[in-house]
Amino acid sequence: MENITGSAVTAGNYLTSRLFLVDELRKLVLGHSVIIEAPRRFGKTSVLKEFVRQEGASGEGSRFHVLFLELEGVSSLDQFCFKLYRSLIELYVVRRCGEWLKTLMHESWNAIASRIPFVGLPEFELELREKTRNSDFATWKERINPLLAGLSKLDKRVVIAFDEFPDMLLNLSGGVEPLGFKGATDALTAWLRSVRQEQLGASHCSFVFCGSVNLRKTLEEAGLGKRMNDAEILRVPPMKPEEARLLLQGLAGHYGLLLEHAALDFMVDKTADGPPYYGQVLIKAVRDSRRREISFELLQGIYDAMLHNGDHDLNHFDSRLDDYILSQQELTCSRVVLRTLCGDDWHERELYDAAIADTRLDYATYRKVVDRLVYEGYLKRDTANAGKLSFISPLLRDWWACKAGVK
Amino acid sequence: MYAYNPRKKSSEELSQSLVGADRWDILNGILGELALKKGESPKQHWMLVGARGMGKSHLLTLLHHKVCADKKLSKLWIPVLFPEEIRMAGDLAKFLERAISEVQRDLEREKSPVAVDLKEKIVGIRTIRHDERVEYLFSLMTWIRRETGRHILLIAENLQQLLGKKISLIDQKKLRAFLQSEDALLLIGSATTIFTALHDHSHPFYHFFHIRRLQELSFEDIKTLVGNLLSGHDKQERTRIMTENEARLRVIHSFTGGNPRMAVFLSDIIKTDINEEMIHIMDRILDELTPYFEAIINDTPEYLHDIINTLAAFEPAQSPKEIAEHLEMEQGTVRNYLKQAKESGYVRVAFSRGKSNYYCLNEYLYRAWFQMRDSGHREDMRWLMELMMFLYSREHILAEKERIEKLEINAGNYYHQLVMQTYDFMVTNPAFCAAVNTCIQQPNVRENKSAKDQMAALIDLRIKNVKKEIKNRVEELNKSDKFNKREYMKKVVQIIIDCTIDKNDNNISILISHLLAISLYFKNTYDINTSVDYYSNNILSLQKNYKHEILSVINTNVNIDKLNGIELLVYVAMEDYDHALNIVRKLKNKIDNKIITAFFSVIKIQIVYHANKHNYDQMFASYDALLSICQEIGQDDKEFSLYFTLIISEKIGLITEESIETLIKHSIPTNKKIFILAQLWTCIKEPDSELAQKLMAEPPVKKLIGQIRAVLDDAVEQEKLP
Repeated sequence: MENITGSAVTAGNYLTSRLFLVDELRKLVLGHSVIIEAPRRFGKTSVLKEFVRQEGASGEGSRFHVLFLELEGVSSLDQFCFKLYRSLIELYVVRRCGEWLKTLMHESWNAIASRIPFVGLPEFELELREKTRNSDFATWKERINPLLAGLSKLDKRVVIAFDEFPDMLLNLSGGVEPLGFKGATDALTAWLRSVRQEQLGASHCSFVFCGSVNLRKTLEEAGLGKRMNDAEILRVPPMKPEEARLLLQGLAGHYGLLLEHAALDFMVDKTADGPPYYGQVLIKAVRDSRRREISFELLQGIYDAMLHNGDHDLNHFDSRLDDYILSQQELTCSRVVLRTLCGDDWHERELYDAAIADTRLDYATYRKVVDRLVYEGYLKRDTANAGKLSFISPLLRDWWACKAGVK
Repeated sequence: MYAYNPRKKSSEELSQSLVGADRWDILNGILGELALKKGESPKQHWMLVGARGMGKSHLLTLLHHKVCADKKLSKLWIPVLFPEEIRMAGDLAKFLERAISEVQRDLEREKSPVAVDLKEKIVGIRTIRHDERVEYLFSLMTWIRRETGRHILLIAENLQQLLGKKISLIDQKKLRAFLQSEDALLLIGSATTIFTALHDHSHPFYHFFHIRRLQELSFEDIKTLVGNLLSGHDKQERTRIMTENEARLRVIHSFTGGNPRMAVFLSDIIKTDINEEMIHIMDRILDELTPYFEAIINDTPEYLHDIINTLAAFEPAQSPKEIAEHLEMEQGTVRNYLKQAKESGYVRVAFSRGKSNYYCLNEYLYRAWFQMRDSGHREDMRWLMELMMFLYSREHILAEKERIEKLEINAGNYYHQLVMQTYDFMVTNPAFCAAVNTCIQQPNVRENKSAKDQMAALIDLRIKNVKKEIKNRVEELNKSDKFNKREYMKKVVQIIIDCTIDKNDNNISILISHLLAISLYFKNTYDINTSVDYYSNNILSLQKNYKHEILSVINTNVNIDKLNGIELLVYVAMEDYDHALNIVRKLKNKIDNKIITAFFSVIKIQIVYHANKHNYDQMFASYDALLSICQEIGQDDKEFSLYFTLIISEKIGLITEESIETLIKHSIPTNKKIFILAQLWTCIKEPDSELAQKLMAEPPVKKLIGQIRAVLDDAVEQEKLP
């Protein structure tokens, strides 16, 4: 198992204890559209890509045709529709459904027909672009709807995976999309919802939505909170201690690192209840020390140095607070909450009384801040500890304590 | 050597001159990931980060050679090596077009059938609307992948220019999306810093690349590098030059911050003795460095220029307050800028004083260059004087000064003026010179730790990390009972030294290890002969060669409020007894007993050593220091153990009677207890004398003398053992 940073993790590098998520996704898409949800760095895209990989590897044995659309660079409805349209045409061509495609595409067919043998070539894309330029959203819907409806003629269920979908929605405010963020989001999500509703019972295709920004929160802020309530939620959970151990042993083994028992236990303790990413961060720090034999004492030094100096993604927990929480008062409240929790776990009400009440922030707003922190993966309400608030993982707590000057 | 261009070197030359274990690590790591198994996709994109001259281009050029030369890899990859400065690639479309053009040229060279088709498609780009070219070029890359069965390996340097400045945010997102979703392209880039696009979470490439920093070269690596440059000499001659210039090499290492390109520049100086030619070489080198440093400044964000130039223009190390005063800026702003400059590798913390950190430039040579270019500094020769101080020891400069004075030449000659001025400056500005020395020390220290923390961390780390190994080896040793006590302790000491001293340690670490080892041995064996030998071979050599360096570090970094006692040992080892006494006065009874014991062992050994060499002045100094410190800590009885040691030393022939008598005479006016030594001495040497008989009549004295004689006989017996 290798320590892969930045890209999604699949195949031999995918943690075997998390394969159940891929199986879960497989079951869900048989009958529903799905939103993969988890805080940042929990491995949402990896679940999706591992699913795509497994289905691809199964070949004809797979029950699905999977279209994977990476939407990060998409900044308008036109670009989104073009991507979807092109993928659908390629699917039909690949499945040798030329005649059926002709029926579905009506007048558009003539423009495309002569180019069918060239689907997949760069020139095809250019010509397709030429033919569809200046189409408005209504025209696009007219083109794409029949293709979606026609998926019933294919031998398998189609799964259309939209990776970085919420990020694309945020791009719609960039100025390229004439309808702007709210207008375009409204139009797009309404259309996709109607497609899903039409599919009910017929069940020809499912959508899977995934992204580093929380989709439901993004839609809520646009006043469209209910637009996705028909989709099933697949939550990517934090690692259990056994998983953390498996991950760390796998990564350490791959790089020939000899971890003393106490050192491994220490690492498990710090990374359990967090995402696999934390294990990667720790192993990277150990590798950067250029030592092979890692004693407990040495590891403690490496861990402390990593908290102070590390090139890792934990820094975003600090910088992103400004994005999630716009009000200065609420932002201050969030920092006080996080700082207080560095020392100990607290009941929500008690923490408010002890640390926030004096600031005159009302309890309802405080709850809103706490909910956001829980939602975005900073904190949890620990059911094993009478529902007390705590950091989602010891590593995050230690890092925050270090940053806040508590440690 | 600024003209040094790895692109013009062959694979063998690049391979032979790649120095530094981390660089080989990175290269082999990338090559390992490129060796894809069937069905595997490329795993991650890489970014090598390091200041100019750290060897990024060297490594990436070698990577390109290796991929091309490897049969298996060349079947999997089409490697494209972009020029070091990517010009004419003002946006993503142009960048991709350039990449594909390079691929087409490679395929044409290979006479691939795809090359012709590809050429047509490239020509067709001009007919496409500009805002649609990126998507087309992505499709083209996917097409190349499909047609050739190979991935494109794009090796591009200075990506901070492209991703950081030229490509728009939305284009960055498109590129990232393509790199994530398609396996046609693998990007291996380099940058001088972790630029905004990589560390700002709102950017698409935030934490996208697998980042590896090129570390500064260690001293041993610099030695290897410079040794490789002495290619005109045979092996013996090379070894001779390297050994004779060890000290200068250390300075070069410190001065250049472990930067390979800088080390190559300065390696000329290693062949030059301190003379007029040296000035011309320095001048020429700094001139040649102008394009290099100007490029660095161009890379640096504008708001950091003032900070960097202030550190170059004024004191060698400055606190945020001092910098703020120079720049008439808010301290808070200066602190922020310093933080960024530190993270980007432009500055480092030289030392701490009180609650303040003092910062200096990481690449200290920039300071010399800056002052040379700045006419105000050039006139007062400060920059040249600093260079002289870096490269030549105080003793060397003194010797040169004396030589010039003997020649009785009037100060008309520029070089002579420089030497005289430098020496005068060193004498009249010790604090400045100490700061300069500290700034060129420890270029790899990144953390802001106080001297106490450094020392404590040093010792703790040593003890923790090696405790287990020492324990195991001593247990192994204990299984054998064939050693007598001395032999056993010698082996224990050797184990301690083997386990605690690492080849990359600095001189203070090595010194402390030796001090603790020798005090342990002496305490357990009273084998003064071996102890003096050990002291002479290990500790004295450090004192002779590195005293100035060691004391500079200690003097500048010691925070009187945060002492822990180990500084006492270091001062004693360097025979800086005034500072040692100062430490004791500050700490009084707070010094660890082990340190006290070690101190007494070391100072006794020093006294005996000087007695052996008839260095009576030094012997007196050591003896007086012992008395003063004993008095301060209220352990006057330790004086008696010294007398015991002296008697043993005389008995085994290590010192003469004369030495002891000299010491007694020296001490009588001030230390009445010396009479006890005199009396013991008499009982041992002249047992039949009237005085001895009188003393021995007292049973306690008789018993004591009997015990002393037994120990002396045993000591003599031990000395006779092979």
